[in-house]
Formats: sequence, structure tokens, C-alpha cells
Amino acid sequence: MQDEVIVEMFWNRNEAALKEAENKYKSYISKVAVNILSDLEDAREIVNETLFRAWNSIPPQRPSMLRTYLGKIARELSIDAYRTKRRKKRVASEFTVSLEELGDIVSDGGGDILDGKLLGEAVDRYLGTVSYEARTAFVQRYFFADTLREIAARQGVSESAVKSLLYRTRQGLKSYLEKEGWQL
Amino acid sequence: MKKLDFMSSLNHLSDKTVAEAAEARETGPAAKKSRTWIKYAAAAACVGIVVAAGIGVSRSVDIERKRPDSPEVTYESTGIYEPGEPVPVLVDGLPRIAMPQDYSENGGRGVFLKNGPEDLRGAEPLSAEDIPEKLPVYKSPIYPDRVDVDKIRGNLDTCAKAWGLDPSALDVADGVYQTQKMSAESGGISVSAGQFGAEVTVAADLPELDGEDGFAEYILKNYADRLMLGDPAVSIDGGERDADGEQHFTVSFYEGGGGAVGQFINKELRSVTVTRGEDGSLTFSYSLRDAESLGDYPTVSAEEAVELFEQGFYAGASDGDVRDRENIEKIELSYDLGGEYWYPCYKIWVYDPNGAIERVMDMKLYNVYCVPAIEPRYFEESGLSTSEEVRLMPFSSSDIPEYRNLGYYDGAMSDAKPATLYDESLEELFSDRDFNAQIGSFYKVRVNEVLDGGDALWLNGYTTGAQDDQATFYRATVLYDYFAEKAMHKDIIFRMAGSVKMQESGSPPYTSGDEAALLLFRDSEVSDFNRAFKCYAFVYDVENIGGGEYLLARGQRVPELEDGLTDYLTDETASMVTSSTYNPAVYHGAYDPEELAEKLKEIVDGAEKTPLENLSEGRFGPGVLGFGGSFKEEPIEVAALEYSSEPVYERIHAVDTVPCTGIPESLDEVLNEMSGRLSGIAYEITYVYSREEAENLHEEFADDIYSMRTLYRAHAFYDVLNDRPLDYYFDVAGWGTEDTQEDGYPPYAVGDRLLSFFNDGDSEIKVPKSKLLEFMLFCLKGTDSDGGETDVKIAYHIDSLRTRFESPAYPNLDLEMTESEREVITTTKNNPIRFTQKSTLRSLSDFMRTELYNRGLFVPDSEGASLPTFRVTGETLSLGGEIYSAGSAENLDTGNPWRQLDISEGDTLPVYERVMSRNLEQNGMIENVDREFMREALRFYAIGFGFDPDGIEIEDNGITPEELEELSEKVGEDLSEEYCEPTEMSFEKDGIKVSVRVTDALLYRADISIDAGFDLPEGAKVGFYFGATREEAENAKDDLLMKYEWLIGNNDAGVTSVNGTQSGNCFVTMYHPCVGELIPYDDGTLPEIDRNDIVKTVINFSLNSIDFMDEGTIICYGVPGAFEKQYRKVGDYPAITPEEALRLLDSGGYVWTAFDESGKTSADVEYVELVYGTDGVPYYKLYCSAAGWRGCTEGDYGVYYVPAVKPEYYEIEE
Repeated sequence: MQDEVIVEMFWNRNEAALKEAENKYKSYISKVAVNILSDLEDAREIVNETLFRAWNSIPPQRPSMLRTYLGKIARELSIDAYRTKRRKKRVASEFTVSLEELGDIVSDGGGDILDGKLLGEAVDRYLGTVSYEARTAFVQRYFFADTLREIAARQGVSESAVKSLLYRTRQGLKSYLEKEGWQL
Repeated sequence: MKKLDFMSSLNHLSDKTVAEAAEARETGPAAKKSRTWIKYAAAAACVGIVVAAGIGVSRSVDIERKRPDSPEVTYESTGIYEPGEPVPVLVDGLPRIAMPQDYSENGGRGVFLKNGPEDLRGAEPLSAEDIPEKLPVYKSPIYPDRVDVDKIRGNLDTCAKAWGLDPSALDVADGVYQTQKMSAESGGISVSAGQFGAEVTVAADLPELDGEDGFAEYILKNYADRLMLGDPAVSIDGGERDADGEQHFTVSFYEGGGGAVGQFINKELRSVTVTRGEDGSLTFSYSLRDAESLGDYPTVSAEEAVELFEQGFYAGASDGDVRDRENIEKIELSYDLGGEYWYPCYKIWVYDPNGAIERVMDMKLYNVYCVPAIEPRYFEESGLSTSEEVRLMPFSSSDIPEYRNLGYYDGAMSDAKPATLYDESLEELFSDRDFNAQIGSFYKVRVNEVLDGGDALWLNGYTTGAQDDQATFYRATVLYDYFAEKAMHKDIIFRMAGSVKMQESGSPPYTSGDEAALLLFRDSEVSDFNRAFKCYAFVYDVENIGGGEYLLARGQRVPELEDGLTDYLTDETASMVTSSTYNPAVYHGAYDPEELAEKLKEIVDGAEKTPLENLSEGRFGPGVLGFGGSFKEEPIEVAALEYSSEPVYERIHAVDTVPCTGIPESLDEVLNEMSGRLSGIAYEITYVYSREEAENLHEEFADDIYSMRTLYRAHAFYDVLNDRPLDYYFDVAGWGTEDTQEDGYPPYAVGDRLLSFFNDGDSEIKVPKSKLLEFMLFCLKGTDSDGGETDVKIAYHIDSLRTRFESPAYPNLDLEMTESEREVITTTKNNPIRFTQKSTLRSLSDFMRTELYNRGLFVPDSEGASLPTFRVTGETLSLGGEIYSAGSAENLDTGNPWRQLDISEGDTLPVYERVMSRNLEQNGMIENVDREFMREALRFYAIGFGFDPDGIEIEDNGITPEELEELSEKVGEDLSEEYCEPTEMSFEKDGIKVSVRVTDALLYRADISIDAGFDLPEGAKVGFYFGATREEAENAKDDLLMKYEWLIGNNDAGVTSVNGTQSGNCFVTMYHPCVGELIPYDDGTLPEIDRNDIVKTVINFSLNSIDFMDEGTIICYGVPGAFEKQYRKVGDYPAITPEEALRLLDSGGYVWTAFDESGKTSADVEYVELVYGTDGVPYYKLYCSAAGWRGCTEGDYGVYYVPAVKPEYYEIEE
């Protein structure tokens, strides 16, 4: 079923929309959650919670890209769950590794981000200036928490090449954000 | 700023950015889809309708086509099931179209009416009785998931103009998410537009109106020019009631010119609906659908539609299941606009005589179904049985569609198993069936997607068992029930024996697009929540030949079933390959579906059991797992997971055909087959022999081995049972060839590393006694950098999940393994290895050694005797001459974590030797230098300093051939050309100089010089040569760590400590601690630390440190990745305790030291630590006060080095 129809069903408060969205995007949402949490049970919960949140947000939202919309919700929920989980014990996930890589951009100290949306938009602007390969690798690594190996396989290059690419992108991003006045 | 907050902020990346990356995730090799694009001209038509606002016609359309002749089933899970993908098949010149499976704009809903259809108002311009012979079908312009921004903006502008607004002056908002919708407001008029239309809302002061008719009249009178219609006709529709009994109508307008057909299409696709808001506003909803016509399609009459409806040919699901002709109370024409194709349909209103609703709500329930008004043959899957007009004719195997014949069974493979695993005859088949429970039906299914067994883990509520290793899961659609003679459109998932990896002989697994007829049972004993049905024999392939549908029998013959049936296949056998070139289905009969179904039903009913009712299709929910469905109230929702495979390389022509035999139940069973002494050899494939080469080399094994095995040349590099390095080559024959692959055992390729247990150490050819003890050595994380082979994380696969090694004594024997790590594609994409366990090689070898030793299958060469002795010398170590002006013994502790090892009797420590060597016969020329590594190292540093690695100019100390000649003359002998090769390389850029060189100690080292210094905060400084206090160095260490942690490489974390005297000359050392911060679990316990990680940390501390010497000077003893380039492991040697080291000091068992003459004893030792020397040997470093010795003062310390392994393994060179 096409996304437009599913969104229309959400708008019409037709509960079948949940089923359709789940049928179509459960695996996608699961993958996002598993990459971050490394836990099947948690991932299942994220799937349900994502759909629930979509139900509560459409309307008023009317996503044109349902998959991306659900992916963002799932990621947000997964990161929240990750925070909670990490307080208790170490979380061995690809997300943990990718998080560590960001150490050369952010110091993990200092104050809180006042406006995550502005920062996200700034990152988006920067990504608009880099190559397609760099942009997709960055998003796959730090948004979807994909492994270096997965990204390398997709791009048909070695892992070390991806690592270098990401490193350069991070350094560029750091420089860009500093110029924009972000306290990293 | 917190890293997690930063991560969270990425949620605000634009949809475009995320979607682009998501798209790339799916189009990469890991999830590549085969797609062929074709174009064909669509028959342009609008059935000659003259309308003011006609349907747009475009000249061509892109349609994706499935490849019907794909020779392989691949493990490329799309992750998302996309039913109804269009197939560009022309039927009588018109494109075949698809019906939405689960959704219909018109069908699939229940409606409340007070009295009956007479409550409804509105009549289509074209009645069901007057349907023309042909009507147009359109293709949705935005399917699937496309957005035409220009069209949306066009709709907005069109409506804005109609209301007197200047589109160019509008401030148009794009909406929250991209441009799915645009809106603007001006002068009290709100306009919003979408893909298929626009809405205009205006304030209005409506007078008292006489119902819907009065409202329609008012609109025509006051807003006719806003309708954008030349001759607006009114339509008042509706009359349905809501749960409160309130009736609802809609008032709409459409182009009234032209004939009835034109009006009908205009009303359906381009009408204007006007509604009143509670605030008195009016909203004009314009339907502005533009689409290309695929052509005019022959229609069916209303009477024919009713027949089709009774056969189940309709779109959309409905809660009710009342499809009796006598309950149909209204039929009207409409267009179904819910899917990819917009086609005319009959809306059939069926009264549901369920009295409950009538009693409770005083209303009648009607289910509305949508039956396509064009002939079913134009639909991709009509689900209808063979037309009676088609007379089945005998045919030969050559009549089977050519494109499906991908090859023939050539007899090369063994035919080890019957097609049916369990049942040899009908009697046997039915003997254990409980017909008091359930018998299912005989269904026609179409395979939509092949799911790997592993994906089943992701199917909710389903737990895979060992049997699933040899099965394949399919996502399929049930199209027809042959017993009940009813068409169906229900999705199921079913599982059948045989997989791409493990194939039944003559019964290859199905592939996407295959159709099969299956007799399904529900067995009350074995069926459960997850496995509602079982299916044994009676699997037929469905083929259309010469216009008729045949069921082709494959696999086991069942004589009693064949008796009396007309066999339309004239050849004795016919082969048709489905999913594997070498494993075709062999047909032995072709039957008329109806006749076969009748016969089957006869047998089932006559089985002297109590036949139960056929299962109704209502049992099937979308995506229900099991053979046909679940008996739970709530269907189990399923979806395939998008798993990541890791293609390493492929041999496209490799296919798998041989069934996997001999599944071990336990390690006991495996080992019982073994005899004699075993050895465990880790080796690397260096050459793959062709079969011809193998047979020529080892003729005596040719018949037995090479039809089923591949011969490899291998380099043995480690004896895991005796813990010693090896260095020899041998031939090994492994199971599986390119043509005949074992389940999960594709042939290996050069570079693959394996661990096998052999039972004979003498034979020239070493054949693993049992493949079951063959492990693949696969470095998953690359964590072997510091610890050598013993710390390689390996994953192994041994045929069956039932054989699993677990032992509390070896905690690293069964490490956690993620799903993505499990499946690795090696030589073919359709025969991936599925790993069962992950462990460290150390734990695995310890476990196996113990197991084999206890069974008498392994005798160590001699305890420890296999370890070679080595020589140590202080001179070549550059050890022993140093004096530490620490001020006090406390300052000697610089964070070395060696005490965590708690070395006691029986422990071992790894000893390494250097890879590079000096060729004394060649004037000390250094050999085995990896210069490519040195260049890569320079590139690494360049990237780290923000330079383009391709933009640096690398200089080296290599010499020209002419210079070599000159040098040769000077030394008086011919020097090797290798002298020309450099041992030092460097670059200089923007005030930063980096050189990577081979040191006198035969190690790689990088020296970095930064002209601008370290830019340290006030009060911070380091200075080995030019002086810095400890306090200054302490102030500098955190800042240096933050700025230069990347020097460690691999994104590893670092720690820093201060070395040097209390008063001055302090520098900062940084290294990677392999043991990170231990975070307690909820119960307060700490995670277990791998002992090897502590050893690695000591090594990093000793050999891979990075010293910040003076402002701007960095010496990297640890060049990332250098350790494994410069050291190879000799073995794990029995260690001595610190106490034993002190005793050795007293007996003179220490390495040369300049401190020697002082005559110190163990009583003088004030501090001890374990370090690794540059020679790769662990030493105890014993610190004694040097006060008074050769000018040293209080607080100065000299050192003795005592090897930390038992003395019998080394010689101290004087």
C-alpha cells in the first residue's frame, strides 16, 4: 500500500493504518532500533511505541515520507531508551561505537545543547556541502548506526576508506560548526 | 556538549538527507535488487469523451519488471514486502494490471443503513446496466510513493486563480514534511493543494436552506464560476448513517457536458465537493486527478460481476463473509482509485443478515465490495481457476515454457534423499494424521518472497528450531482454494523442507513468482500457535500451458493418487529448473487442477476418519505465520528483517546442490567418530586447485575426494592445541566444490583462514576426519592487533545449532553474537555461511584441548617442550642503562596495569619475535620492511592533521640504482637492489613534519614535529630535553589527550600519564588501555575482564606508547597497526611470579645492565613492574635506588630486567 494511502488512513483515524504501517515498516523500524540498542526485545517495544507515537502525531502532522518520519521517531525513542539503559550498564551496540567516534567533534563536557533542532539543521547544511559518498556514509553511520563494514560494502570500498571518509567529514563538520559559533 | 545530545540533534536532519542515505542503504550490494526497466507506449485513449477538463494523457510509462528467468534464489531480502509489483505483460495489447490486495477505496467497508439501499441518494451518470463495452483504465502518477511537486503547485495556482488570487503573490507554505501539501492564505481565502486536488475555504453567510438540495442550488447560484466547470451537474450522494444514527450526504458538482460515460468519468475523477463548516465557512474540495490512460479495457456486465464476486474476485477485505447472491441489494458503477491503477468497478452492497447489529443499533449492516468492471484476465492475478472453455491437451516436456528451463539435472550430483522426507505412500502419509482435528485444503499459492530461515527469528512469536536450518520460509499469497473452488487473496508465510543451502534432490526451493499447489493439514498434535499447519506431500507446480492450467507433479510418486487421473504430460519425465541450475524439479505428471483436487478430496474424505470442514479463507489473516494461518484470535503480524550481509567476494556460477548429511547431535557424537591423535591447525588458503590439477597431483584420492571436495594449498601458521606458531605449507581437501556445495560450506578462496582438527599428522594430504570439526577462522572485529593469533575473535559454524559448545570454565567460548555477524557471504551470494558461535581462539583451543585430551584423542607434543627457546640481550634491547630521577618510589607508578594480571604459577605470557631482521650477509640490510604500511601510516597522520592524504608529498631515504652502484663500490661487494628501498619516509606541510621509519630496534616509529607547539593552556608544558616540571606536565596531559588521542588509531580511547623527574624533564605518555572503565551491572557486579586485554594493555603501555617529549615533539612508538607488522607471536610461555624474578636477580639471572656494578640485591628493590621489551619478551623491571652510584642522588633509580618467563626457555646473551 502506498504511503499516501496509509497517511490518509491515519488522518481519517482509521486504525487499520497502524496495521498497514506495521506491515510495511516493521522491519525498517526494527533495524533502526536494533542498531542502537542491540536488543530484540527492546526493538519490538520501539516498533510499537513508534506506531503509537505516529498515531498520536498524524494528524496534525502529515508526513510526505512516511518511512523517514517513522525512522526518525524510532531513532528518537531508541536513543532515549539507550540513555536509560546506559545508566544501568554498558550497552554493546554499534551505536556505542559510533558515539565514541564523535569524540573528535564534541567533548562530552560543557553545557547542554540549547536547541537540538538548530544544531541538526546546521549539520544538515554542512552535509549539503560534502560529496554524496561522504553525506550518505555520515548519515548511515551516525543516524542509522550502520557498521563500517556495511557502509564499505555498499560503497564498494574498504573499511579503512570509509573510516577515513568519516574522519574527514567529522573534521570538516567540526570546523564548520565552530565557525557557526557552536561551543563543542 | 554531550555526544548523545549531538546524536539526538541528528534527528533534525532534513528528510531529504535521511531519505537519500536510506535509499543508498537499500541500493547497495547488500540489498541490491535486480531491476529491468522497459518502456512501452500506452494506448492513448479517453474513449472519445469531450470534456471541459479531461484526463491528461502521457505518451509513455516506466514500469518495473520482475525477471521471470532469474536462475538463482538470492538471499537478498528486500525487508519490505511490496505486493502487486507491476508486471509489464500485455494481454491483447493492453497492459496487465494489478488489483490492490488489501485495500480498496470503494470496497472493504461496512455501512449502516436504516432501511436499506433506498436510504441512499445519488445516482451515477452511468448505471451498472448501461456499462459500455470498454472503459479506460488509468495509472496513478504517484505510485509508488512519488510526489510531483509541480503538480501540487499547479493545483494550488489553478484554484487560487479561480478565486481571484494572484498565485505569484501568494506566500506558499510547504507543510511540515516536504511538499506533500502546499497552502496559502490571502484575503480571507485559504487554499491548500495536494497531489490529487485542492481545497479552498472561505467565510460565508449562508441563508436558511432547504436541505442538501437547497444547498446545492445556493452554491450553483452564488459560486458557479468558482467551480471551474463549464456545465456543472449536481450530485447529492450518501445517506449512510453513523453509529449515532445520523445520516450524512455530500454535495458535489461535475462536468455535465458530453455523454453518460464522460460524465461518469468526470464525476469520479474530477468533481468538486462543497461542504459547510461548523463556523459557517464553505470548503470547496476540487478533485484534480490527472493520469495517463493505459487504454480502453473490455468490461464485464453486472451479472458477470456478481459471478466473479461469488468466486471471491474483488478488491479489499471486509469483516463480513456474506457473499450470497440473494443478499446483494445494490450494484453501482464507480472507479476504484485506491491503488496503482484506477479502474472501473462495481460497488456491490451486500446485506449482512447478522441480527445482532439490527437488534442493538436498530440499523442494518451492509458490506460493500468492489469487483473490477473489466475482464479478470487483465489482472495480474485473477485467482480464478481454469476457464471451462479451455480444453486441456496432452503436451510434452518441451511445451513447458522455455524460459523456465534453466538447465537439466546432469546426474553429477548424488540423489541421496527422496523428494518427500517422511512419507513414502499415501498410507504412510495419512497413518499419523488425526482427521478428527483438521484437514486443510488444497491451495494455489504464489511465492512473493523467499525468506531465509534466519529471518524467521524476526517473525513475531516464532522460534526457529534446528529443523529450520534445512527449510525455507516463503511469503506467499493464497490465490485459490481448489477444494472449495473459491478464489482468495490472502497473504501467508509458509515453511517447506529444502533450502537454497540445503536442497532436497529434485525438489529445489521455490523462487519469487513461482506458483504451487499445496495440500495443507492441520495436525492437532504437532500444530501449535506458530505452526498451525503441516504440509507433507502433494506439492505441485502450477503452470499455464496452451491456455490451460496444469498442476505439475514433482518429487515422490504416489501411485494410488495417480490411478485414474488423466496425465497430460506425455514424456516420462520433464525437468524444469526453478531456483538452481543443477537441481531441477523433475516432473512425472501434469494434471487438471479440478480433477486432481477432486481425487485428493476423495482420498482425504475416504480415509476412514472424520473429515472436517474445509478451512475457510477467513482463517487467513494478512501476514499470518504458519502453514495457512493461525487459530489465534489475533493474527500474528510478521515482517522480514532487513539483515545485513557482508559480501566479501562472489563466484557467480557457484551453485549448491548437495544435501547436507550427517548432522551431529553433540560433541560426543562427533568425537566418537574420530580416532588417533588429533591436531588443531590454523591455516590460510594460499591457492585453490582446479579439479584437474588436484587429480593430477593426488591421483590416489581422485575418485573419493575430488568430486565432492576442493583441494587447497594452505599455509599452516598456528598449532592451537600445542600453542605454537607454525610455518609450513600443505594440501588440504575441504568439503564442497563450486558446483556441489555443502550447506553453509561454500568453497573457500585465497586468503580465507580456517581452523581444522586433523587426525593424522603424517599424510601428505591432510583431510579433516570430519567436516563437523571444521571451523572457519574469521576475524570479526580485527582485535588481533596486539595479542597475536590467540586473541583473534573467531566465529565457527558446525552444521547444526544442536552442537553448541558451552562451558563455565571458558567464559569466552560463547560470546554474544549479533545477527549481522552471523551471516557472512563468502564465495557465493546464495550460499552464505551462517555462524553459530563466536569465541576467542584462546578459549576455543583451551576447551578443545581439554576435551580431546580427556578423550585420549590428543597428546601434547610434550608439556612446554614444543616452545622454542629464545635469546635475550640487553645490548640489543637498549635496556638497563637508564636511570630514573623519580624523586621517590611512588612516582615510578605511571599507570601500568600489570598487577591486574596477578601472575601465579601456571600462568602464561605471550612472547613475540620481530618480523624485520638484519641480513648480516648483506651488510646488515633490514629485511621484511612493509613500505606500503609506512606510506599508509603517513597518510593516516596526514588525515589526522587535516591534510588531504593525496595532497602530501612523501620523501624517503631510498637511493637510486646509480647511488647503489656507488655504494657497492665503496663496500667492495654487490649490494642487493633492496638497498634502494627506503627505511624512512616523511612529509612536511604547514609547519608539521611527520616521519615514519624503521628504528635500530627493528620497529616502526613515527616522529612528529609541530612548529607551532602544542598550544597548551597556561601553566602546562612538557619537556624531555628542555625541561618541564611534573606539575606542568600534569597540567598538559588532559589537553594533549583530547587533541591527540586520534594518534592511537582505530578510534581507540587513550589515557595519559606523566613520566620523568619530580623537578623537571617530564613528558606525557599516551597509550590505549584495552581495559576500559568498568561500569557495574545492576546487581553491583563488574563485567569480567579478559586476561588477554590486560596483557594487551601492558604491551600498549610498553611498546605502543606515544610520548609528548617537548613542545611540538611527539614520538609515536605505537604507529597504528604496526604491532602485527613488526611482531609475530612465538608462543605462550609459562610465566614466573614477581617473587621468582627477585630470586633470579639475586642469582644473577638478569639481563645486562649498566647498573650491574652496584651489586644490588632483591632487598634493594623498591618498585616492580612488568613490561614488554622491544624484543617482544616480557620482563620484570626491578627498580633499585641509585643514590650514590656514579653521581646519582637520592630519588634516582636504576633498573634490572629479568625475563618474565621460566628460565629454561631463554638464554641470556652476554
